Amino acid sequence: MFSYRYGLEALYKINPVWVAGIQVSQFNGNVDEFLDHAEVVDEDAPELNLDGAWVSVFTGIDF
Amino acid sequence: MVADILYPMPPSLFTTLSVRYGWSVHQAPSTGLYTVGLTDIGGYYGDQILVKWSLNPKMDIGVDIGLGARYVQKTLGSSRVESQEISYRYIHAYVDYLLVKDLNFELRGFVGAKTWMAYSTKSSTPKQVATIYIIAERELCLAIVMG
Repeated sequence: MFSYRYGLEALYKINPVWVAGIQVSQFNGNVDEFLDHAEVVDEDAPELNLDGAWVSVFTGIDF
Repeated sequence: MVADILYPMPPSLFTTLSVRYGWSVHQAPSTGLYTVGLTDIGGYYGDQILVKWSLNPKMDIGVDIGLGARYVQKTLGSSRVESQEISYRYIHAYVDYLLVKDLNFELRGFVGAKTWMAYSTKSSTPKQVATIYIIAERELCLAIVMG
């Protein structure tokens, strides 16, 4: 199984090092690996559908 | 400077490095969750760390690591509810490309593909809903008597 996310990022350079922006994207795919409370994979667990819109507000640094 | 300290790492590895922290909201389907008796289903809220390097002035490649969690309620009989957290984690290979650049503003298109993903659920201690109703009823009776 293959899943992916694609979209656009608007970025503003506050100064030469510090940046901030927003990402708007679409996620497509299912998660098929379920971890139980002991972090062990449960083979019988159902898949989790994660198709949907995604918005992220971010900040960061450029070295 | 960083490359000098970590010699023999190539200086270009650090001069082209970018690190981002993001807070994300992800609206995913809830259809399957309603059928198993879960309610109050909202979106996934999560954190995201992106580390990327510039291949050239227009294209970056990197790794996008994140997690998301949503909180739902499960009714246990007529008077008990249990709160459940459904969470997922991912590691994406990531590439972006500069589309528009104007002074301090940039618009980039990006694609992140799955390299590893997993999800899990966590339950809280069930709460007695009836207790809350009893307190509310008593307050209401008091208010009527005093009014």
